[in-house]
Amino acid sequence: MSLNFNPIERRDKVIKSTDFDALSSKLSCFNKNYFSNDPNNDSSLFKSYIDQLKINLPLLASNNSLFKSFGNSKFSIQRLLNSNLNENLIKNKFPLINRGTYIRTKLLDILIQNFLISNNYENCQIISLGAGSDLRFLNLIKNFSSSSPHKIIHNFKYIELEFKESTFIKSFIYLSNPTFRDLIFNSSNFDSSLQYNTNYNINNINLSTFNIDTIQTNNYLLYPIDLRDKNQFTQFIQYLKNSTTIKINFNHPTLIFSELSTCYMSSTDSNVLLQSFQSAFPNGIISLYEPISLNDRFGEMMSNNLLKRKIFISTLNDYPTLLSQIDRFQSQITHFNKILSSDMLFIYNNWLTSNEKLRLSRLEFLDELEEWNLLASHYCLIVGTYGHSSLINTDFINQIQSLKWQIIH
Amino acid sequence: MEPIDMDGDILMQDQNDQRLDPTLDEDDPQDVSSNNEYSFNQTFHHPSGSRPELSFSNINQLDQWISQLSNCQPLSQDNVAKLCKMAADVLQFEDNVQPVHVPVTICGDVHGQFHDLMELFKIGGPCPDTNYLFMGDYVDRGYYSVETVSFLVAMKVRYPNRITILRGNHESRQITQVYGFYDECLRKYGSADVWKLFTDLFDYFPITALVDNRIFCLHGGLSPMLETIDQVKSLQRVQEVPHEGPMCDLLWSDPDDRSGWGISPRGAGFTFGQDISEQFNHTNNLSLIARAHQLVMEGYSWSHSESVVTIFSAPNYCYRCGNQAAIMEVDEQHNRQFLQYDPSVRPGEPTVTRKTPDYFL
Repeated sequence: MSLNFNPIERRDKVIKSTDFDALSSKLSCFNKNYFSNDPNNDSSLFKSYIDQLKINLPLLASNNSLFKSFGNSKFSIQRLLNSNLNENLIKNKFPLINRGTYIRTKLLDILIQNFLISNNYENCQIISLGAGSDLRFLNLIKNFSSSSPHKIIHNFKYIELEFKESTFIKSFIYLSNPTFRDLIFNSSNFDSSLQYNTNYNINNINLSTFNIDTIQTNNYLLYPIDLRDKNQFTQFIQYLKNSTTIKINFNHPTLIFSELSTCYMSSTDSNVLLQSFQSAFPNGIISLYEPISLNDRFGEMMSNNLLKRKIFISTLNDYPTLLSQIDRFQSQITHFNKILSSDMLFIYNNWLTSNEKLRLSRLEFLDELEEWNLLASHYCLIVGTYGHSSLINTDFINQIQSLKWQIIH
Repeated sequence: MEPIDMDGDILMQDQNDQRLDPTLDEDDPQDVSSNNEYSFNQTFHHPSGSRPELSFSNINQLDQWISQLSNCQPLSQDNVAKLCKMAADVLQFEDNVQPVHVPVTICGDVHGQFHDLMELFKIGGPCPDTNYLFMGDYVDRGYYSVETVSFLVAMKVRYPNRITILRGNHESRQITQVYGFYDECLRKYGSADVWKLFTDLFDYFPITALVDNRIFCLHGGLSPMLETIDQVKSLQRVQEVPHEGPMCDLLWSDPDDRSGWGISPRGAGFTFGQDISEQFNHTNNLSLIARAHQLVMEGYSWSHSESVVTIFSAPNYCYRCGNQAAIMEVDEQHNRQFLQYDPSVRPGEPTVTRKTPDYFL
């Protein structure tokens, strides 16, 4: 028996389920060793996360009626897990999807690394919009603690914003797994970590009574929000202002990024949201990774195919080219000092060393070369810096400008 | 907005809803009615001299298989085994450089897009009234590799002088395990036996064709180890597609804007420039190299000042690319004409299932 959902709820369910697509592609990449020895993408962290998800999510979801956020029945979650995280299905992912997933992950990793290094990991913050199951924060901490075990990070804050259902799932997995817990709460690199057991009663974490959808430490915030809702955004900013734990300095350089998440909002909503972030964090970098239609037949087919899954990507056609994305940043969001943009094909060709490309070509035989060129040219990264350039570390601008870009404005 | 029923989703599966008009029905050979069990092999003599001719019962059987396959119904495993054996008897006597005569319609990759192959025959005219030369890549990627390759092989056995099927880089054991044919065989037959039958057969496929000594046809492109067509004739082709060497290059190489030989980004074969193509055509007194292998958005694409043409016959390749397909007709006077076409309209194709092509989400 299916329940009644209004069109918005239906659309939202599909959007929320895209996180499983992303996980699925990433799992395939890990299985094919794309991320081997990649300190920003630790395979044991990822595999633990997937295992926890597979084990706990069906029960967790059914106990909390969470399934309604992803499908119509209790079986929805199991279906999502089966179709996306079943190892037998995963092994059939095409090489171009693996390559694209790898590049997509790397390009944001590179951007984030540049941001952190140019700020010396201090007095800066990262905000991930629609973070989903992204494990970048855990990877950052793990990577940092193994490379610089005794260095203390001052005033580095990482915020993940996502639908409540997703932060709920992530909270459960983070809090119920000792490795994740330790990384979040007990990192020796933080000047003052929050002890988890003071705020989160981990002795009592169980599937039936779990109701936490927010994690806050001095350095990390996982926060539930519908980013389309202006009131919720206002509440979020107020929450930050009132917090005596994470203590955000709004003037610190802030990297705000969306990896295929704001594109699911209407273009108006996403532009308003990004403007609001600019107002709240006056010195920052906004970076979006989004599909673009290029107004061609591949783009048209992409739009049609995604619509068959009821996925509507507003920006695909509203900002179909790199130039229109740049124009969007200039005219629809606001005052950027510098806007840089490239498609994924360009990034693959220009950001990866020839050794890295050789490694990838040896992992899997990619015969779908023309298809790869088409697919990769229909995704783009756009980065805009704004605010006082002295505060947006000039090193960062220099560093990312030293990466090759298709368009620098 | 339409209601979403995510729980009503079904995983991708092949559907055979549509019965196509059997446009490929042939005029029955007048002698079929006699039901003569004896073969013609003494009476009809193929130029190559060695190929056994079909018996009447074989013709009947083939016509029945073709009729079944043209409805996108796969053959039973036993019949695939029989078909492959018959096909090996035909293909093993073909040359590495199979001679073909005009008029002929030259086609590129099909990739298991069975309904689009039927569309191709509608656009180009039914076989055997029209002669066809296919330049490989019948399997992988599309949902109907089994039906597609079974159909083309059956046609080849039935009308050996009317249709030529070359080997593409996907007609290989290794590639089909990555790109879908292997899995499709498992799904449709419950074991890898049919995959093995076909991939064993692929070893016999000719690797190039020569249309009236003027148009050199092959799947991929040239090889730095081959300067003349005679050198192609001396290759030992009956084997799995090797990872390197001249046979590999013929199935994997691509023309390129850069002159000379280049490393192929595909990891097999080479890229070759206009200088190479022109030299090869000059040396071998050719007017054109026709090849497939690369997706081109208009279905065909000239390169190297019209010394090389790429033909691609899978419209909206992988149900994703939005490209047109094309075939090239070469008439008795060697005039060339390209026929372009879009995906066939086919209610019942797996469009309503959740399994749409993958994107990054």
